[in-house]
Amino acid sequence: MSKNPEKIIFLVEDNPDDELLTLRAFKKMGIMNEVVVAHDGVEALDFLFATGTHAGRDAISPQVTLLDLNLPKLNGLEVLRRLREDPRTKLLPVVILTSSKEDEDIVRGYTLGANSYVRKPVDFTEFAEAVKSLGMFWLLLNETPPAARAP
Amino acid sequence: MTRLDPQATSVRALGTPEETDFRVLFESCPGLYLVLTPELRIIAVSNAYCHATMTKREEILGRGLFEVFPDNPDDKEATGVANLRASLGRVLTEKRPDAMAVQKYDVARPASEGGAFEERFWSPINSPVLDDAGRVRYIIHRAEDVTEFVRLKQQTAADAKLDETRAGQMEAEIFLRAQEIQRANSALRSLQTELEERVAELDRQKKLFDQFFKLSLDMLCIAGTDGYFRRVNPAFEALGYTSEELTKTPFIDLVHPDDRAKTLAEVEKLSRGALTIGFENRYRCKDGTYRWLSWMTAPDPNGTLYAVARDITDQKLDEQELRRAKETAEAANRELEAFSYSVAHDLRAPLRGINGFAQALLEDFAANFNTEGADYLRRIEAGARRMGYLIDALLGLSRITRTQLHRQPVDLGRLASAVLEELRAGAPDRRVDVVIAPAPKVNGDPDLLRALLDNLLGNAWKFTSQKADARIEFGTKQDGGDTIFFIRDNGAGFAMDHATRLFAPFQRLHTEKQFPGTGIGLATVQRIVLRHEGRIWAEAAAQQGATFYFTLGPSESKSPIVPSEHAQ
Repeated sequence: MSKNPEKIIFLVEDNPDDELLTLRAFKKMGIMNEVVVAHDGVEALDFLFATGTHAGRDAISPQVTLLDLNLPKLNGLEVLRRLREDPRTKLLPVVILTSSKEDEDIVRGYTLGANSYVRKPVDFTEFAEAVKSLGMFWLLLNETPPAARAP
Repeated sequence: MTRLDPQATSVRALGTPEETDFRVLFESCPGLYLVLTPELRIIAVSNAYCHATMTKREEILGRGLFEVFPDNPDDKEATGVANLRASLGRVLTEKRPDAMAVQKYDVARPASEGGAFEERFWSPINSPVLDDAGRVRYIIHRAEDVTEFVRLKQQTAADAKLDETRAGQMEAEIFLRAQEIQRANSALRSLQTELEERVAELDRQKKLFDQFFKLSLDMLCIAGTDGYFRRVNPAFEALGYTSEELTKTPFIDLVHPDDRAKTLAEVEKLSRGALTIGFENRYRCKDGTYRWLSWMTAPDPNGTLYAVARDITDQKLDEQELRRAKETAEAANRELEAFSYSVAHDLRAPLRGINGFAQALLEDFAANFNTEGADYLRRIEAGARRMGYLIDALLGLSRITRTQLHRQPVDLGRLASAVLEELRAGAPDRRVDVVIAPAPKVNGDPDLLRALLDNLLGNAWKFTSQKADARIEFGTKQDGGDTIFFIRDNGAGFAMDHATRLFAPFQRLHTEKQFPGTGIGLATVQRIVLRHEGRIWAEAAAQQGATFYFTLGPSESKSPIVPSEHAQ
């Protein structure tokens, strides 16, 4: 698995159980990349734009952002919309990772510019497998757009 | 020949009102009548005769005929008496009427006026009246005074011939005129009859119209473009007003204020000759409530309006209720959607936790647990997983009820093939004999039909997993006008007497160990079939497989079957 610390995984997840399990899954699958976690929509934007609580440092472009939809303060779709509106984050790879399988959400997600939509399974093993696939694809296989790479 | 009642004439006094007074009738006859006994005694005489002969009844009754009416003594050639006597004699003998030729028979002026004779000419006819035995009882002497006529003939002696001709002409003319008058009278009479018939017919029609007008349950009325009712039928009483009240009030006053403008516009259209069909407005009843009326009105060139109104208040109320019910149902549906959505998320998240951490315990702290402990953890994990499936299945079921059906032609045969291919791909080692018969295309929702086949074929696949010579068949059969689809397998089957709640959610006929499943599949299938207005039923036997039959549309005429193109 990748041992490249520069490739950061950005996880936007409000549920602490899900957070823990996701991190565990990464570890289990041998993904050693740094994982940054934001617990709500505002924090997510602050991190990506280096504003608010994250002000005072250079903006960081994660290799991939795993975005949950049900977030407090600002929900996932709203976060996505704002990311896509800003030229700095317009091309950022975003994977929606959520419990909902409703067509509405899927359509809206893609319409707003998500790169991918993955449903969180209940079964942990399945979830771990999903995480592994995600990891393999986004961290190793996928080419990020030049502007998104870390300076 | 008339028979006279012997008691009838002189004996009876002016009879009772019910009896016909023949004597008065006789005496009033417009003709010169004299009634004689066989002895030629005068026993009755008409007023006209007395007048013409200048005699008085009471002076001549009972006396002999020739005593009363002798010949003119100054007339040497008088033949009156002789001829009359002869005629009467003939009547007595032959008992038949005897007509005399024109006879000169002068009559005397009354003694009070000098008693001189005046020239008279008569055309008499004498008729017998016989009694039961055939003997002559009376003789009726009827005379025509033709004096004027004869004089006319005698008048101009020199031009006797001319006179005769003229007289003849006059006669002829008179005759012709008489004929004409007779014809005219006849024509007039028949015209009169026709007129009477027409009037009678009109009367009948009017009665018919009145009958309909009165009896009609619909409100009928005649009104004017001047804004007033002229005539209303009793059905109008439904509004609570009397006819008088209705005809006195301009009808616009009774119309709901919100409907007045459009009513006036409609009347204006009518005054220009257009028909009104299905125009609706509200009328105020006597008790202040409003009723909706639907109008059909026809104008005539004089500005008279003929209208029928139907009370549609109940229909309007029904419409409103229906609309409200629909809105309520839609609101309920939306609520259900929102509920299902949150259920999905909020229930699943903790499940992930339960499952995930149970697994984490198993993996990371394996050393802390013995076999039993590990088993408990596995059960926790399995339970959470199963709950996840159930939630998904229930969500799926609810979605089927909620979503809009988008019907289009679907080839079920092809769909079945696709589903079975996927099943094969998931278990490449299994050898299953698959038969798919060509099926006519159906008009249905492709997604739902896909789910239907997923479930039914998935079941067939699952329940034949223990069989070495598994066989799954998809086909159709005709029953009357309906196409029945079926999926048959030769797998585990089930006993029919356990299958009463086959399609109820969570009802399973096998344990989880025998065959995994949520118990929602058939409930889902049934719901899909019902949404397509079809029916579903099953036949099975334990260890002998099962066949599931279904139709996809209401029976017979409204079948949503699209003609097949026989493509696979």
